[in-house]
Amino acid sequence: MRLVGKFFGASPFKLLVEHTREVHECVKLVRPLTDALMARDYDKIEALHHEMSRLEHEADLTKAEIRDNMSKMFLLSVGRYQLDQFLSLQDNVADAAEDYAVVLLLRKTEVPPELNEDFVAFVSQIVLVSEHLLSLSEELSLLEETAFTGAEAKRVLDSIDNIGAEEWKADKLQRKFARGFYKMEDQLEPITIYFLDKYCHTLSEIANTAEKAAKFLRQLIVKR
Amino acid sequence: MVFLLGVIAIGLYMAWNIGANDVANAMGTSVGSKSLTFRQAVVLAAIFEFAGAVLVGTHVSETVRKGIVDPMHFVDNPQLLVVGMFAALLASALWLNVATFFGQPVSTTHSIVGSICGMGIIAGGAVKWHMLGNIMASWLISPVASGVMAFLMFRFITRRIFAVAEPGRAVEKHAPYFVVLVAFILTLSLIYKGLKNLHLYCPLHTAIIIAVAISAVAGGVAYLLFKRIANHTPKPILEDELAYVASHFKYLQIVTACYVAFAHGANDVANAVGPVAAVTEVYRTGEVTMEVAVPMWILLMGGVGIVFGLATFGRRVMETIGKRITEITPSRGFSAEISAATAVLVCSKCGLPVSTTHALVGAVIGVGLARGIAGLRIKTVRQILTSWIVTVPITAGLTMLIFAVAKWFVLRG
Repeated sequence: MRLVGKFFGASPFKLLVEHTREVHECVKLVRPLTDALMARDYDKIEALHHEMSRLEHEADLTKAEIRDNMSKMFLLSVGRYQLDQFLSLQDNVADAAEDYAVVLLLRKTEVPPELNEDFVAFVSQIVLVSEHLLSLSEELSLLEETAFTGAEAKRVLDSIDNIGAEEWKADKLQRKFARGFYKMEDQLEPITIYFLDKYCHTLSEIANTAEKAAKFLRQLIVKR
Repeated sequence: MVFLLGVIAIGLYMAWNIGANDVANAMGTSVGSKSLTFRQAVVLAAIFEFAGAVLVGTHVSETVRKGIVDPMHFVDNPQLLVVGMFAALLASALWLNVATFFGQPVSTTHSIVGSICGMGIIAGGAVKWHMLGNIMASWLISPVASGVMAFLMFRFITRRIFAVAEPGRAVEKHAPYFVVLVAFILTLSLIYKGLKNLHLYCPLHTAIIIAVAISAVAGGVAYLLFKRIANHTPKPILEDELAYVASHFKYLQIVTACYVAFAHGANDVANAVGPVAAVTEVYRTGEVTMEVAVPMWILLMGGVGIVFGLATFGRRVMETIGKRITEITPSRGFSAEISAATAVLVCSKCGLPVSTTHALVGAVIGVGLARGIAGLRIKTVRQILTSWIVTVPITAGLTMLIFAVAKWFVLRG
């Protein structure tokens, strides 16, 4: 019986890392988008949004492939529900990044130059949270080899807690930025304030979703 | 006379088939992970399959020869037994070919047992139903037992090697003991109630003492050999540490591949030569007897057939396996193989014909339950289950058909 070749299913983790990478590519575009906004280069924003759409679509294809493979297997080494949720949330991260690009596209809003520094700090932190998620995802194949035990597992679990801390930092930076433009509210048009608020909201969404994804990563590791 | 030649020919063909397809399962993982060259794998498999067949193969061969169908039923009509065994072998061989042609998994053991059952039924109710019940129970129990052992073994490896601070040092410590375990079980199976053909007799306590002694020696040798590849400085990068652990398990997997080959030879050689033994006995004495054990030359012939099959056709099968083998890392392969081999060997000693492949499947599932594998393909498992259910009725029916046709020819001529 020529069994061994057809018996095993391909590990979902390689593709999973691939997906995380593609999602992170989307999130990375947030920084150049913000720079373009502050430089008032609205053509660049259009181009970047186009790029973002393309990347988000790639991520969707990978997600579909992972789901397809998973449906053909049983006796997975991780919980099927947890894996699915992780995948969904990661997908939402990419969606949130795209939302940010869309909001930027809607209106030629002018960010008050005094707030540039705070704005950039906030955006950089968001990208950092996503980077964190990517590095966690990359550890998964190693964890698979050790059957999700040992020092490595503990390290990754601690790392997941760190994402929570990074996300909290992002929240703080968001509040600092928001307080900044609310302080100037008499000098700004209401519509500008409205859009600055939208920027805050969509950017925070990226980090929040990334953190939620990380929580499911914890479940992936701990449960089967 | 025609039927005698036919039986020997098909018996050899079955042995060849077993060598070509089944043995690759045991050796394929080592060839795939490049711990053995194809030539080395063939030599090792040859030695151990042969050894298993000749040294421990009698028990199961006896069962296939006279344990499923009562030969005494044919005392008045020995020709019928010959024709019956011919039909059984032919039906099995045909089913094997058909199933393989359609890419379906198939068990040589289930085929031959089903065939002989069919023969017994059509020859007038000579089936020993009690024994058949035992055999079918073992078909259920052996994969389960194999799975439990594999689960425990892999859990042990996870807890004591992967989970500790220095997996490299842990694997160095444990590797020789794994070799001791294999050597102990192998030696015990050889000595205790074994070697009938060499007329050695050994009571249990003596057998255990000898087994302990020999396995201790084996462990010592293993320890020295491992020391030569030992090169352990705690590596900061986990990948390197895990690669070091994997390299140890690759060598251990060579040991278990040989172990599986031995157990497989012991159990499956009967599928080819059991019927042959029944038939040659008739031709030699002109009558049916219960007493004589399966003669050595028949076991040798079976062993040769298996080795020949492996050497000629096994390369292609192993290459195919080697390409797809990335999903099972050495530690998992080791756990699965040591458990399956043990289950099959124990069943062989009890004279129960079981499917080595199903034992391996059970073992892999056991490892999977311990989170050792990414996942198993549903489709393949479904195929295996179907094959399990379907093989016995089909081979039994096919045998009855062939028997009826052959009988008609004999009566006519």
